[in-house]
Amino acid sequence: MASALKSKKIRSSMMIETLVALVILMIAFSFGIVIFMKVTTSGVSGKRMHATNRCKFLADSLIQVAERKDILLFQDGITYKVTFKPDPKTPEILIMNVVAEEKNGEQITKIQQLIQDHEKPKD
Amino acid sequence: MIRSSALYVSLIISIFIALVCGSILLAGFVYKMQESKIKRGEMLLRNAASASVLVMQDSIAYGSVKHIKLFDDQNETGDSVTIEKRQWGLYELGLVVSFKNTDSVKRAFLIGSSLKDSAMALYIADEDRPLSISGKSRIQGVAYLPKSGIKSAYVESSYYEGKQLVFGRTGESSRELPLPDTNMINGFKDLLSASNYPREEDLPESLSYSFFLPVKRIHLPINQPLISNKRISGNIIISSDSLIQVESSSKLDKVILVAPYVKISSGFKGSLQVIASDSISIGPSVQLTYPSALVLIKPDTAGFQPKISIGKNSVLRGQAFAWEKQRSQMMPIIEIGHGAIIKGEIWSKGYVQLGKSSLINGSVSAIHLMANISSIKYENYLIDAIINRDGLSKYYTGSKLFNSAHKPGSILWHLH
Repeated sequence: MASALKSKKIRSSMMIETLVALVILMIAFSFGIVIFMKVTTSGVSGKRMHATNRCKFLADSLIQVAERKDILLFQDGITYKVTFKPDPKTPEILIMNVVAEEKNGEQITKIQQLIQDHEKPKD
Repeated sequence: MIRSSALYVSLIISIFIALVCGSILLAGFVYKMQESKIKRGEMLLRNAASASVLVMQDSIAYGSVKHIKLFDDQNETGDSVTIEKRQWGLYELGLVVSFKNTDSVKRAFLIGSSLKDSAMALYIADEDRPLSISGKSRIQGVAYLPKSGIKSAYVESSYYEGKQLVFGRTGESSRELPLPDTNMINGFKDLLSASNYPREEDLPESLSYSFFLPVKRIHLPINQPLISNKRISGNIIISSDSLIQVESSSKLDKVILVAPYVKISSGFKGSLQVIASDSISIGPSVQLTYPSALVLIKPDTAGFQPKISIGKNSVLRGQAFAWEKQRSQMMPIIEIGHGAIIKGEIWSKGYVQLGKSSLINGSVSAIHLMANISSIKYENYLIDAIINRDGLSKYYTGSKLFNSAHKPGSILWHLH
């Protein structure tokens, strides 16, 4: 085995070849990191989905009840704001806004829907 | 000689990294697309619900298509909807479409009205005559009666069997019945008189027509009045210049029949609205499912007595309405056969004749009640018939015709 190795010449890479390879690898990795970050930050966010589902639940529940009062809720570090204001074009209709916000005030999701004012469920 | 070839190895690694990154990017993109598609769908559904609230307002006129932005928020995109309202017989028809780019959500539904008086069982116009009650009759609910009130009577060897005359509150009625919505009545008249509609004469074996399309009007020739072995549903008005006869072998759903005389044969089952100017005859054991309606509009110059007759053991879930503009000697009459059941409202600017063992789960409004026992007609008598307001489902939704300017409408029935 040792004699076989001795009989062959092992040529190292040239300096320039190693440098080019390093540059290519660095570019490839940096692209990879950028793409990975972009996908993880802008793709499906568990927090946003959670907030959206809660907003939907709030909106659908509040449509069913007669009470039309503004509500402020805090849960898992998210603020949920429910507001009702008359539609400027049709005053007997209310615009219901359900907004989920981060602590810093950044909006996560928003739901808007027109609902009947003083709409009471049938008993 | 073995070459270390770092460049080749690094290129292969780079390609591998590129493939992995590409896959992550693709997966992220697909997720993102899917998420935005679901989000858009939910937003369109919510906008369609908002548009439904809008279209049910009284301020929306019949016939016009409105394209509106729901919210005045400048940042908000995709809140465009089109709304349309039409009269569909005794009810209103709401059509809404919410859309964004090429995606859209459509909704068609019948609009009903919550009842103005949710406890009224009987309204008899005050003609200075009391109402007489006899046999196994029962009035359950609020009764608006003439000032002369109600009394028990002895008819056909039987006394009134109840412990009290009215099982509920009584009030005084006025000389006229509460006026129905005249715009809707004009709509019925337009339907009865319209002869210049684009219309077809062929009635296919099976026909279903979307409410998002213009109304399909089929005019039956005078010599072919029979609707037999047909399956017809949707946005269709079937009219005739004389008679329409519907056989029990036919299946009709949500269609409107317009003719001077309409006859529904025994055993028929379906949901339809009938608008007639002369008479409507419902055979025995017919089941008209909710929401059905029988509308009789007496022509202003007619010299006959128009009539709605509902046969023995038939069931009507909806409304029966008989109207004449000017009070005449030949007032319209609604005849309810023996054992027939009405779940809804009866309104007649004339007579309502309740047969033995007939049951009205809802309300009756009329100038006079009438009973026909052994070929003798008793005016302002209730004999062996039950009017039970409490028997009406709490989910029952009426027509704007009787409940106009009361409350905004509500969705009565979702249509395809």
